Amino acid sequence: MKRRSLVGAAALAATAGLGIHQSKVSHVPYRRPRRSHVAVLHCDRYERTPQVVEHGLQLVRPSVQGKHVLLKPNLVEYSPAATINTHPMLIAAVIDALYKLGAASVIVAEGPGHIRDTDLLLYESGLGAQLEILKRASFVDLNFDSVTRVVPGTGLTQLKELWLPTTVQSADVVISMPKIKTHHWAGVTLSLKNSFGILAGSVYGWPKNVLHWKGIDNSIVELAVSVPIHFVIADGIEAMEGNGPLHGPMRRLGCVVFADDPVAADATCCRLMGIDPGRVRHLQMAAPLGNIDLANIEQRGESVERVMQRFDLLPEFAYLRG
Amino acid sequence: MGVISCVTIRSQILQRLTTTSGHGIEDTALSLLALRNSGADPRALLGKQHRSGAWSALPNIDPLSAFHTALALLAIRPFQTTAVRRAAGRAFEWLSELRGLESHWLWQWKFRLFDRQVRFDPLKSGWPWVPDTVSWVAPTALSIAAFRAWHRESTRIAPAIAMLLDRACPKGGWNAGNSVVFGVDLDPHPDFTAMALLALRNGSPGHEVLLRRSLDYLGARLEGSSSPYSLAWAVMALSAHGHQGVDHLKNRLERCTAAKFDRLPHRVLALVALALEDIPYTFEEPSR
Repeated sequence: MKRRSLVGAAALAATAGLGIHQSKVSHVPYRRPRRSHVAVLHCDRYERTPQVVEHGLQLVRPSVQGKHVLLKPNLVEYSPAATINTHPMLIAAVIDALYKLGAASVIVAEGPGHIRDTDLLLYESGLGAQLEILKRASFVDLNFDSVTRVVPGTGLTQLKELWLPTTVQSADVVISMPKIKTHHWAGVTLSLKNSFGILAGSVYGWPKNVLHWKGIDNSIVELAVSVPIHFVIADGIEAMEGNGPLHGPMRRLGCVVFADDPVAADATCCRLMGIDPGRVRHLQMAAPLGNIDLANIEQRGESVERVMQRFDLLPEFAYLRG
Repeated sequence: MGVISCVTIRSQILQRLTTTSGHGIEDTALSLLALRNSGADPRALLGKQHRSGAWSALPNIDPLSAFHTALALLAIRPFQTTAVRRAAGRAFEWLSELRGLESHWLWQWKFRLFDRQVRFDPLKSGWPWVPDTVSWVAPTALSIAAFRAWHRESTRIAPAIAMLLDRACPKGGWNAGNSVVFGVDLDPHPDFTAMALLALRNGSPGHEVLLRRSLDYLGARLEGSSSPYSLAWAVMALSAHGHQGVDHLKNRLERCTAAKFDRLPHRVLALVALALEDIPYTFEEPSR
């Protein structure tokens, strides 16, 4: 029995070693902007989001005039007891503001990772009703969208191909709208991790388990390269700490974060949660794609120190503390 | 669209399915099943089978899918032609070879020694959605249903049933595949619960309480729902188990479908048509 344990442990160690080696030989293209722009705006309740969003977009200035914009919220599953999803009122405020800025079209698109019945989730989360009221943006269920083959460029996941939704690939501008949350596998789930919802569940299943088996961090970075995010609007009004992304308690962070660089956005959100972004593995790996270093982030709106709270972390992620 | 009767809405669905087509294997397979007594032809679905014997979510793409392979097997079952039997033989061969990664001794060690945040027994294994991943409820449930519908014996069925029973949520019903993660009980989902209940319809001695709780959960969870997809799965599962809540959900399903008729994709319309049959379809065919 002991010998079998040893053999098992040795095999697992070899597998882990292979994974680390793979990470080192991978190629993440250098796309880091010289400077990134991030705005943190105080917002204590969702009713105020129209004004806050308008102000935030003035500060970050996304170029959307005449363009087809895709909003990718974080819509995972509904529980009346937890603040899991990007709030529908924030999404509605963003849709309105983008049309005011001259967007040709705005669609909301998501492929929930645990739920096949997106119709039920739209209803229970309140997003369906919000979109009905607005009548200006349709919803696309990415889990059942048509897909196009993309050859992954980083070598991180060793996947020979990715089948990505046509709707996402045909958008001119992709705006990621994550909920600021801790995550029991990835440490945090912000704009980069939010891209897991882009993969079609009909192709990969519920959950999109292949991404877990190829390494969550590897998959996050692979998707960040394959599907560039142009802007981020993160919901930190009611965030989640502890055992996120589904079962952690709500943490009233009271802000919305706007950014023109997803890496800078996620680094800032980490700092707002009392987490050192340099210790989040997928952010380290995504460093060629954007700015983590404060010296290269032009901070607007509130200062991080003023808004920052010390989020509870699972013991497994205590090392993320700044 | 106003209030219409069960017969009318069903005939409208069949009309839609006959005159238009969806784009995925799930659309094609469920439509074929819904139209099985209306002159449907399985050749379109057979033509989309991969040379390995499997089907994927969409024609000509990877990865191959246990869920869609099982669904296609269920869909072609009523059409007993030589081509269908040959296609089924290849599909069952592929399904029989495909295992969840947790069935490998290396990963069993990983889950038993190091990776213990998810509570499950890796010795009980079913089918993954796609190769090189672990077993989940939906592909396992449909694969069991496919073997059963075709009256195929397999050594894979008993451990797959054990896997479903092991992965049930503590209060009944099924999530996607896990029941307790980081010490937290997960909530069941209606569709996965219905699929598991269909797979377990022939009784699971010693697990009657679980089945009853799961059926009751399903009836109560969807009492106020307006989603035809989940309602249709639930109607079929409750009907398979002779649960008293089936008529209520069936009425609700008719109303919700009528209200959303123009927006529903083929896969949902076909599922609704199956659930609204006089005796809701339950994926079982008489022995031939």
